[in-house]
Amino acid sequence: MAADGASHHLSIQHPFDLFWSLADGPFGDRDLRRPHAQARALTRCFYVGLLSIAFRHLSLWDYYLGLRCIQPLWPVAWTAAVPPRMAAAAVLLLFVLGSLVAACVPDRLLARSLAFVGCLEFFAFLYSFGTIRHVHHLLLLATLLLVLLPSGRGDDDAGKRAYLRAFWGVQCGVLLTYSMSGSLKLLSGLWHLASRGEGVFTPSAFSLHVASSGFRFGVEPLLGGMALRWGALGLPLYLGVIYVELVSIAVAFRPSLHRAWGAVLIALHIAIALTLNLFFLPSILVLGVFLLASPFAPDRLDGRRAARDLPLVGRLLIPDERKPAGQAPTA
Amino acid sequence: MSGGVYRIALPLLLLFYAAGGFLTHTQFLGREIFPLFSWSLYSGAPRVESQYTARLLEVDGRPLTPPVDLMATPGFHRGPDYWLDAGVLDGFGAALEARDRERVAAFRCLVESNILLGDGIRYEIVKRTYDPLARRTTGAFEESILGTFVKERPAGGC
Repeated sequence: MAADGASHHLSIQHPFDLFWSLADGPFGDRDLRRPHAQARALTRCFYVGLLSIAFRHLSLWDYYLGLRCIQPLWPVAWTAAVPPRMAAAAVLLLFVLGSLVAACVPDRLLARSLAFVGCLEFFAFLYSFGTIRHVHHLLLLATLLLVLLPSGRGDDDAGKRAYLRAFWGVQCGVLLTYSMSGSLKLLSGLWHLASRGEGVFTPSAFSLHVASSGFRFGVEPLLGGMALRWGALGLPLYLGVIYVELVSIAVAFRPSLHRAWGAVLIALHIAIALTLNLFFLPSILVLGVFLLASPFAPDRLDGRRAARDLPLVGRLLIPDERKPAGQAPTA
Repeated sequence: MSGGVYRIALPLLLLFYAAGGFLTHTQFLGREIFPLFSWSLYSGAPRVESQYTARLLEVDGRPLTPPVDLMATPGFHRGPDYWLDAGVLDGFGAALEARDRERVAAFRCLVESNILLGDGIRYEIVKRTYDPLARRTTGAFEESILGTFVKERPAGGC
């Protein structure tokens, strides 16, 4: 991560020193009190958001308790041994209780673990009826990574640094999923183009997705018609999306881009909802808390700095300037 | 977790997650293991799509005229989680096409217990093949019936 006034001396002592030497910039010499306080507040906000998602599912209790035939995934293998209504009630209540406790005392390892277990059990139950959907996978990954936060209030600098590292670890995990998505789009796109002359790098790809989603879900997307009329823009938009997703993991190391990437990825989810009928609501919460409100982002947006930090293309768009005397090098 | 352990645990966990996601990618003949996921979303754009639906022919011995296409029923799509139900129909259709008896039995149980909530229902599973853009403009698709079933036993688990 580019340092804000921190200087690093790279000494490789174990295999992941290089990783952390890039990541540790913001935790170097700067005052950690404010980002630490922000990160703690954001952690609580995340669990409040998780609680609201759990509460939304609780409102559908009649549907879940009416499900009869279950083919349990491994985390809920125990449900085969109890009546379906009891299993549904148990996972719903565990989800609500775990997120409520974590929202109340997010500094406690036990509370965060309970939130993760509640989340895992509920969504494993939800996907034990013949099909696994992926709307909640990001939420689940974030709750898992938050379990790794250090306990305690972080009264000293070492405690604050450890907390911020673990908070950054969640950001890193979230952005990794987008890079995985982008890299598979790139690889599959090239493969399909070379082998069959079709795929995401063809001009009709976006229109095909829009038209298909209307039939697949039986509901016309809100802006489906408009998206098809403007289908010619599909390919450049798709290329933009692949770039944004592919380089996301590099953004974890560039705090100047945290907020912009959070906003762009949220906008991407909104566009997907309007044109493809896929509502990744939990992803909005995760991106909002961990990137849009990132405690590592600079207080004021420096457009030039952000543009220069754009992965792969930033240095081409805005070449390096001479650094003023005394300024530390960036990682 | 102590700082030293975390410095190793986080990169290892992320590496495991990424590797696990790619290795369980279904297009590489992998098998999805919840909660790992490759995050392959919209990475292809096939010109020919398949869709499966259930068409209800009779309820309680009374024929439905015309038969009711479940996927075209507004009530089906406005349920709490129509994605899951549509996914189950997809799985049922794919199992019938693959002539996989075990999966057919499993998906039939899911469809009859959780989706078709009445009794005495005769229905057929239908596959539609189409070019999404052509279907949108002309409505054209090819259709084949993969099987006809009667739900006789009351819903109550498998």
